[in-house]
Amino acid sequence: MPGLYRQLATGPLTEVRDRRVICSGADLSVPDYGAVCPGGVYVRNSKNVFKLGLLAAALTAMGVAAACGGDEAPATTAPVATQTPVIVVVTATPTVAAAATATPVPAKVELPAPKTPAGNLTWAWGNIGPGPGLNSAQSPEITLAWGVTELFFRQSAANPVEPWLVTDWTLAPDLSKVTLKFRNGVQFHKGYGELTAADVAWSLNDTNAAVTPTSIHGQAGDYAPLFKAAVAIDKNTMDIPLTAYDVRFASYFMNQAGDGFGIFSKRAFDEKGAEWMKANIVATGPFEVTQWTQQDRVILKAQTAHWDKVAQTKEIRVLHVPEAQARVAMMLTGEADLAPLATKDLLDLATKGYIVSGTGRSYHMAVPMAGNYWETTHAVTGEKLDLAGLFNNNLPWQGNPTDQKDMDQAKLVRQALARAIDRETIAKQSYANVAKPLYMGSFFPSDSNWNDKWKYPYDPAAAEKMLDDAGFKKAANGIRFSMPLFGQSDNQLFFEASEIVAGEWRKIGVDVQVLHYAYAVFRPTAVRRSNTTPVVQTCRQNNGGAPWDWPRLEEYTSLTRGGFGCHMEVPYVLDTYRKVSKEPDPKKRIEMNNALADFWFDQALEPGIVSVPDAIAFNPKAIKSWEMRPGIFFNVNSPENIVLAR
Amino acid sequence: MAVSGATTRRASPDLAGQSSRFAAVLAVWDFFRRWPLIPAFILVGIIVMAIIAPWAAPYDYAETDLLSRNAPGFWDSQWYKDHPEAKFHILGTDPFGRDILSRVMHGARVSLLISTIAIAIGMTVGTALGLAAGFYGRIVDEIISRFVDIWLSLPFILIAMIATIVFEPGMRILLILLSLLAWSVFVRNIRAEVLSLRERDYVNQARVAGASGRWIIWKHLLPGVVNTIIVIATLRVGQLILAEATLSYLGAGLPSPTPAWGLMVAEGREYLRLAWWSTFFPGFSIVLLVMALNFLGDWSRDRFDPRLRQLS
Repeated sequence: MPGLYRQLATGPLTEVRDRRVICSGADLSVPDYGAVCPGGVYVRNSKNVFKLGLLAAALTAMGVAAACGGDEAPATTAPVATQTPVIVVVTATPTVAAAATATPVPAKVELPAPKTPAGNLTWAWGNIGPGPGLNSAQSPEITLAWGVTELFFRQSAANPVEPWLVTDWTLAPDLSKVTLKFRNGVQFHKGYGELTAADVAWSLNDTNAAVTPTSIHGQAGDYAPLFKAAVAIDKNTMDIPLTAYDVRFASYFMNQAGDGFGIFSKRAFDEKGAEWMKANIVATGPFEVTQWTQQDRVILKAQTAHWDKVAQTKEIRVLHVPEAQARVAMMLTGEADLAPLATKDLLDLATKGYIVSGTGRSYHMAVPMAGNYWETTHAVTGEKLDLAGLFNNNLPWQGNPTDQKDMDQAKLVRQALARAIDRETIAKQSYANVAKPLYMGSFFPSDSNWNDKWKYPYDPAAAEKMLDDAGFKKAANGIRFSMPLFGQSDNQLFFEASEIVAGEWRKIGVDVQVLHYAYAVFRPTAVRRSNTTPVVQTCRQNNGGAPWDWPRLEEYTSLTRGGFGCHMEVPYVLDTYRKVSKEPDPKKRIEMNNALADFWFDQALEPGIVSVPDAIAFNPKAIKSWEMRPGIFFNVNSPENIVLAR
Repeated sequence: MAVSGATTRRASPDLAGQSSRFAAVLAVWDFFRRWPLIPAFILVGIIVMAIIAPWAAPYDYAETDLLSRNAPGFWDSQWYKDHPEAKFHILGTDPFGRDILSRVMHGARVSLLISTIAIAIGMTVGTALGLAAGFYGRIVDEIISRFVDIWLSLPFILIAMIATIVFEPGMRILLILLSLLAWSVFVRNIRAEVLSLRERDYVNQARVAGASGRWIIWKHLLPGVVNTIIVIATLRVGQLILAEATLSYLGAGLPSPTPAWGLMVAEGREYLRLAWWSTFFPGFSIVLLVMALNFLGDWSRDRFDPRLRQLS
């Protein structure tokens, strides 16, 4: 791609070692997806694998300790070593692999026999939301993880941009469009024929708020600043004219690892209409949805013929079980074969012989200091933004951009709050050391570009002095000011983290009232850009280890207005995002993002808490192995790769 | 002199002893049946605990201590030997290291304060409306009674949750919600009582003498319904405490770190298997308090309800 990238290394791809792509012997060790070898191959991030390797090592060690510590004769169970989830310890670090394979791990408790008939599986899932099969009606992205929908690219051990539905793609030298070629023979469910470029174009346009302004899809706002209306050139070829090119196009936006959108049958839409499409999902994945009942269940039936892989599992029943302890109980009794669980429960089940696995995804929890809406015009349309009333309450952490003194005071308050969180103790005590301290949202210490100057030290005394300097001295009752903090009630991680952070801030005299209610109630305020309550959250790309040279933080700008936002709009972030998006040189992108990190640290707009692996547990008596692909957005994918134990 | 055919049996000393012990037991049982000593003792104990909480609680109820999170209580001393860095907590700690005993003690203040204020407001409003509906009758009675019917058909929990989301949870909104829950039962019962009282001779005489409606209500009718008010209030307080606990459990009550018992139950439910005490002690406190109030309410109804007195 002449003019787009500068060659980082000469010569062809020479080898794949330890899940990193090596270009002519130069170990690029850039722990991100954005570095490029000639030919457009990306470097795999092995650090996420390592993190989950640590988790698996901890679980294995605890399992061995539990087994050795008991009086009962250990029951024989399937040894951990025979499991090969994709985040397999074996390939991450040899020492960990040795620990995992050395000794079978007998559990103290006999694993339950699965109650689901052989050939089928039951998953206990935290939430079954609405499931329309129409993107503009907010078709759920989870269908990508459950093998129902498919997308352009997916990740593999060797290639983060492995062709999936797309066989070939090119980017115009002037970055004006992307041309994609789709494979033949991909059949839609329910007999709606073969996938064509027209189906893809229609699906993408239905998602994109720039083309369908009424779209409420999760990526409506993300796609709007990037893509214009897609056009099918012929049966297999599609053009996407670009408003702006983002280097994450193939590795994130159109990748199974990232957000994505659903590719549905246009023919079904034309024949049956929008209302029918909202109740029926007609996609191309190895699993078809035969029932979707919100807050009850989803039934996935394996296709008997599929262009890629026919699943061994005949039927997957996904049940709505919002209570985490109920999910644990179902696992312990064999009613459920798999469940996503909190870290403490995963560790507990691991000691009993259950297998913990995932896509390498982590929750990177931070506190966006909401209310700092500093942009005055819409980044895409140029219209003046209505900020009336947003600054009326003179919130201590919120800076009014028309008043520099207020901005300075608010910055001091945010920096104080950032220094009052004891991340190391939280990681150790609350998450049994499987979590890692996170200092700033969106910038990760595991990245090789990380600089320790961006670490907020835990220094309550300094924090108190900063608050004094900001004019918030302690009153007679010991309180400086009161503030709310939202920690959603339907996610145990955020629920707990919000209480922990609130406790830390109370120690420096900030009276924190923690608000717990469902995320669905809170989300509209984020979309509307009216939220001024700090949130404990993993906001957007915080979900995964975003590569350092990626353009980032666009949800912290008005670019995604009309869609989800991270509770602030910052001009400097917008400016940097635009520059990085256009910059072909990865080193320059890294430099720009280093400057952005300096800004982010200085402004303390998103103090971090910890990064916690997001994983699932499954019963080895039901599932023998499951090779998942690396993912950023979901904790499972590729259920067609499940190998059943019976 | 023995009467022919009759025999006099003199009880043996053992039987006499047993029957006097039995009589004593019966007397004690009768005494406890007559007077609600046990529920009163529980209630007084909880009130005292609530009053002395700021001074007697061993820890600050909001203080977190991650080194002591999910620590057990007095029943597991081994844990403290294994964790010498952790401070001792009699009833253990919650998932954030907060002392359960301190939070239960302060939670009693929250529960009692909220329910007392709510019942006072509800009682005042409900009594006034009940008196007006019963005394004036006709269109006034129709309007008030139909309003109560509509009110009782509304889903309280749903309305409460919407209200707390719109107005943000806090003490004020919770008091308003619980007051709105409390008033309607007073209206119906007071109205029924007044319908009977207003036909009494002394009321008619007051009317003939030229007394105004308000005078009659205040001087003659209100004293007549006081017993009913006491009975209803006592019974209702327990329900309000349960309602507050339910709202707190659902996240629509008082925000953390306020030690509302319902909220404590919610915070600890994820650790039922690993740290049961986080949920057990606040939950048991709710049971104790509501049960005590219900028993007291039953006793006061038996003692003061004029309708039951008439029957006896």
